[in-house]
Amino acid sequence: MSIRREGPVTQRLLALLQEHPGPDRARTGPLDGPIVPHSSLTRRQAVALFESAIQSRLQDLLSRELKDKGISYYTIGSSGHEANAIAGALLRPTDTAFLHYRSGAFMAARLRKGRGETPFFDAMLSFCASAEDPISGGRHKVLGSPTMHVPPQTSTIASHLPKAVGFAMALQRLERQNLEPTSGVPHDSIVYCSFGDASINHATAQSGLHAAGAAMMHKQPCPLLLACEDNGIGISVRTPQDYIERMMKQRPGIRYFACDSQDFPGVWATTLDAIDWVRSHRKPAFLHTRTVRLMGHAGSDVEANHMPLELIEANELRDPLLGFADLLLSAGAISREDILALYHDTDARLRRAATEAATRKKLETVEQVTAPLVRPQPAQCVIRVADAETRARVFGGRLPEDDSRPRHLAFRIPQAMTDILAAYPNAFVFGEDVARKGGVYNATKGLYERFRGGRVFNTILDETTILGLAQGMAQAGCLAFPEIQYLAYLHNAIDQIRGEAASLQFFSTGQHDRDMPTQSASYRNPMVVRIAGLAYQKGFGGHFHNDNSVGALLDIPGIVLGVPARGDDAALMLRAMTAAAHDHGMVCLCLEPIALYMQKDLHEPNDGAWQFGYPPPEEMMGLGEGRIYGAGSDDQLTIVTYGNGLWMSLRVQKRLAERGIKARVFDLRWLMPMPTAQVKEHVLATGRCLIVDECRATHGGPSPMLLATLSQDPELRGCILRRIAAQDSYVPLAAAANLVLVQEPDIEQAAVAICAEEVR
Amino acid sequence: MSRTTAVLLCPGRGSYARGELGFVGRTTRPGPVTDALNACDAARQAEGRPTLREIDGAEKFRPGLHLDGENAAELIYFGAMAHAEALRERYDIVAVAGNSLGWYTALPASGALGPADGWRLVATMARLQKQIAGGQLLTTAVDEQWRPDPRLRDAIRQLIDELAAADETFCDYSIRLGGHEVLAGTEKAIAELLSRLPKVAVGDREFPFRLAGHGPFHTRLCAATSQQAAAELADLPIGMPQCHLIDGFGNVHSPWSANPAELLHYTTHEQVLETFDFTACVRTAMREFQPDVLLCAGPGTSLRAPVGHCVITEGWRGVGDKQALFDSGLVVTD
Repeated sequence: MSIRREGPVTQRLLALLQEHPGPDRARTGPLDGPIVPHSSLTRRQAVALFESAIQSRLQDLLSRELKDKGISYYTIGSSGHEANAIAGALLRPTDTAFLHYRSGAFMAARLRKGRGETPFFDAMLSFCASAEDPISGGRHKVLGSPTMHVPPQTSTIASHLPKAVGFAMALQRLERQNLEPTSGVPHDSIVYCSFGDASINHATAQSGLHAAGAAMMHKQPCPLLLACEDNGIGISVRTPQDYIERMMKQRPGIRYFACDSQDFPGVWATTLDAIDWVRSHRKPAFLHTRTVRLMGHAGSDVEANHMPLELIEANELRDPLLGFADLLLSAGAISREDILALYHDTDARLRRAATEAATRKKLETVEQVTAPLVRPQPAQCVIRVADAETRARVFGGRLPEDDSRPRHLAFRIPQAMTDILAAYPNAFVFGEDVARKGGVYNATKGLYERFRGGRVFNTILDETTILGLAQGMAQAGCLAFPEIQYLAYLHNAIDQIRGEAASLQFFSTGQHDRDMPTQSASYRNPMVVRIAGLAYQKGFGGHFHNDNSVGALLDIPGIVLGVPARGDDAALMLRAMTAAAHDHGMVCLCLEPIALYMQKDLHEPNDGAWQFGYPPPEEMMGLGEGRIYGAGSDDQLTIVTYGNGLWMSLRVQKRLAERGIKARVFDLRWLMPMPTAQVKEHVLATGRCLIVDECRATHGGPSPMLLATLSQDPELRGCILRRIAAQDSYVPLAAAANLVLVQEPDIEQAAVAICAEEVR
Repeated sequence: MSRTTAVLLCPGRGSYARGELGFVGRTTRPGPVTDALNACDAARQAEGRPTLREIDGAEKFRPGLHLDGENAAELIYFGAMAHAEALRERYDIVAVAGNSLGWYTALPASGALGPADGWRLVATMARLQKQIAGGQLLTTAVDEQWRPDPRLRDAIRQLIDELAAADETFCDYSIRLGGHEVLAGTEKAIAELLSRLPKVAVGDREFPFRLAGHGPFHTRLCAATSQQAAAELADLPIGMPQCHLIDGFGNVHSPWSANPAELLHYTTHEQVLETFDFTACVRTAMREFQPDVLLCAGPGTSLRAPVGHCVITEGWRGVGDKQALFDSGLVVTD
């Protein structure tokens, strides 16, 4: 028995096509009549489905052949899953589809519903990693279409389920605000999200399923069809028999439908029912299609190494295309000669398409690869301001800039958000406790009362869901402002940022303008994620509420990360992020230091020196622009810091001055992009630099990278560069926290020490 | 040795000019197309109109006669059908498409319609289109090297958006014709477009210019035509094409799953009322069929330049400019 199964699978199908006895007179009928009694699937429609299915199968085979020749770079295939062509044919082309990687036939069928789509060539451009690939521009083999409402997806870990829920829920939220979703998606569309039986084990899949069910329990419309293609195996690990059915059949809030890909008319009928049910009820449904996986997980997976040969052959005998071809021929939908002609014509067209695609441009420079990750320049960002009447209304008649009293951080954030919600009708604020409660730290106080539940709403307590909602809503046309209650809890959902939200532009920048040979982004998920975080809380201790590591964010390409330490900066920063998200689709994270939310004083109790006015609403902070405190011509030292470190450093700065040491303090404000050039300028002026990083020393904060950058700069040769950072420890409870966190005396000591050193 | 593979592209209005006099007579051979031509001439004779053979065989080209909508449509149809028959002997035609009126030729050329029914379709549409007020003009969005010029493209788009907002200056893309754009609209819109579109010279041609005798085809202004055509042609016996057929959206109808009812609906509705995207047709031809050549049927060679623009924009087989296109031999007319 052959180890590689491409040959046997193909030969079995071809033998059936060649040797089939032909129409069974009892089963034949008109081309536009039902292919089996009472089916709504006609013979003609069935042949069209077969065309999509065979395209997918032959694409799989060809990609493996081309891989062997070094032309194709992807061999995870759709063989055995071709019944998903039915969903591709039955859904409207405006029903947004988040697909798993075995959806070749779905894509073929979906693209047939478009105008001037070129599914054969697009597939080959994608396999060959050509820069001309319309969806990802050669950056990844994804299934997606910029014109046919298929966001790019590979979904190796089912991380697309939460955003599918978000997209589905956004449809009704936008409708309530009288806003049209983006890209011509109608309000009555539904969302389709497919995945395998093994994917369902992922926490993200469970989050998505739970969020969809919870939506219904909270009486929120969620028109989502969750399609599980159950082939009974994940790579080499079997899924227990009936596991999916038992998990999903009684799931609260989700209607269960089941079918088997051995029976194409049955899949057609069930899929049609499920789609109609979701569309008319605006509720989630689970479509469970049993199928088989043929030829292994990917070209590199030799099934014979982990599966008995008898089982491999038994699976192959369940090849859905065998039964489907037999039905087409027996029912007289197509003749034996024609089905063979169709098969060979498809194969020849794909091969010719591959020959041409292989010659097309590849990504050749770093700039080309990273173009989608480039952040906008400050001048490219403009904040919108609502008209005077609207502002007067939402602020209850008294504008915050007219109130001369300085205010603290937690006071200014909801004011800034009020201006943003007033100016951007598609802005939505959501997260746990953000609505009536106004946030754990009052950072969303009053927003619910001003904008009501349609735009400011509570979510279930699950960060994966919150960030998934943000992506789905943003892709549907919202400007999303999710709140994560504590930085530590971002980490259980971090892949929703690093693997999904932040990578979207990277995977969706392709050559899709048919008139112009240039790449541009087709999908974006603009969002500003507000995260309460960092340490130094008094009276509320322990690691989870004082997490002081942003290391998991600092290596994510293309995101924007800022840490506002004072109220006016928070307003200016949120505006800059809003503009970058709205105008350029950026994924922005605003990390708000919890310990500074209510901080009013700086040097002395009741001095009120850490309160500031409300900046005029049209003012913004430049993306990546820091702020200097107390620069003098004879400064001996620059202290570079951010967040709580700024507040502490400014206090130390005063004490140093009393000791005769002149130090300026530079607030980075932005960790990504970091104002490195500004830092350099100040270090050059003072000759000494002390970086005060409140995050963990090794890779928790920005200081290792900043120090490396400065120390490698030849112009700074001779300057003294030092840093202090928190211990590589979790933050313990009570006063013990001070043992591992950077303290003011640490800063002062380090500053004194560095100033004792001679600058060369 | 296998024959050269080709996607056959059938020409639209404007392809029968002075140089094409006698083309129909020269090209037809005994067979079903000639039979249909005989039927056409017999009908014309019975109605007291000049026969196509007479018009085609005239010593002089007379715009009033040869460019008359009905005469031109039928001359082009029979010329293209005859030429397609001849070309089929030398090429392996893997798919058929057409430009505008050329769609009516593509249907019978693909085998989805008999030649006589194709003539009925062409004649009916020509008669109905004649009654519509408005017109067409041709402009361009390519440079001397036939490469797309984004500034021209944007200028055209902006002007259309501005004018189309008001009913009396309604206009739209009528045909996406490679690097050229055929725009159509009301009389007032055409006048505005002619005066405000950028003036461009490509080779010895100056753009934009009005297309004499053409109506506002492929726009909503043809709603009445669509309605009448749907009624008059409801029984047009469209069948399955014998090879792939590419429509004016650039969509493929396969010989195994094409839906004749949909083809008829497309022919009398979308094809009449919406932009005819010949650029998409050629793009689909190149990308999805990768033939050895793109074969532009006569009469005339009017499709050669627009098809060439498409090849250059696509960078097909590495062709990036006009000279490389001419050297490549990818676009042929015979």
